[in-house]
Amino acid sequence: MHDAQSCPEDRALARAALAGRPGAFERLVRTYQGLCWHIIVRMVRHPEDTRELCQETFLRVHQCLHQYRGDSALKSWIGQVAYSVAKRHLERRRIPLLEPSADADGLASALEVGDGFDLEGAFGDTQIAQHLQAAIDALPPLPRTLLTLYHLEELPIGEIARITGVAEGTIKSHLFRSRRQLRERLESRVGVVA
Amino acid sequence: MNIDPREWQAQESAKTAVWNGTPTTDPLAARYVAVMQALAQPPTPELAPDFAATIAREATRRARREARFERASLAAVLAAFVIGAIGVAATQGGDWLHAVTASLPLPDGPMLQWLALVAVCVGLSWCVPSRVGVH
Repeated sequence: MHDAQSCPEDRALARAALAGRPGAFERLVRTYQGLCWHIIVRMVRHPEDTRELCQETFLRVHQCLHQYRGDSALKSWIGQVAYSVAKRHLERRRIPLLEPSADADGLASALEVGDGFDLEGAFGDTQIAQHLQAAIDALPPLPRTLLTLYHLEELPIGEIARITGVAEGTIKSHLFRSRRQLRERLESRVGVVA
Repeated sequence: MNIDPREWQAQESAKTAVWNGTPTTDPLAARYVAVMQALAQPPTPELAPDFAATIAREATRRARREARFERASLAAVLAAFVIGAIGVAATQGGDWLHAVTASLPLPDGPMLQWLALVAVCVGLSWCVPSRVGVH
């Protein structure tokens, strides 16, 4: 898990980028581009939109870096910018944060097979992983993003709350419910995978 | 929805087992292992390898463009101010000069009066910074 407090390296990197030192801002982008990509791609799902929004995020970071006071980790601060950029994109397109994706039904039919079929035998690890990825994609944008921040970025719930502005209890509830939903979906199709 | 503490613990155990690459002995946690493995996978596709360099170049280009725009705006405002001041001086300068010369013991003749006023302005300008510097 990562410390939510800013570290001297964060402040030094921000100062170097603000001073326009050669390569400093590029280093900052390289350090946090994965976080930015993961947040935005999980929110909006479209790679082309994600690329544009990632670019917008870092240009905004460059423009507003003087506002970073070092109260929190630079990672949280950049994560907040990425999350707000992606959220505004969804709001403009009238995509709700808490409703399942439009193709969630497609997922159900993709997992559906006829009675009497040897499901457990037919599903290998790769297929299970593929179907789980499809099930994750079919979750609403907010739980999808919370799961990514918790499992992929390995951020503590407190830091996720700082990035998203969602209460810690709500985050925990989303994590619990989404993970149970994913397990139930998988088990309803391929039986208990243990 | 209430969180079932037993199931939450199983979810967390499965997550830790996946992160550490160790097996779990809890049967409920074992049912979550495939889910936790999927959640730990990065979404595809990833960013282009030259993304950071491209963004850094673009940010620098935009910052330079904004700085140029700010300098041009400042120059335009200053030019407008100077032109306005010249216009006001041309139209009302005579009246001001008469009002000032009437209240000050200045030499006769418009040229001498203007020169005396300029000398007063220069003197004040010279005095004010030195007084500021004292504080």
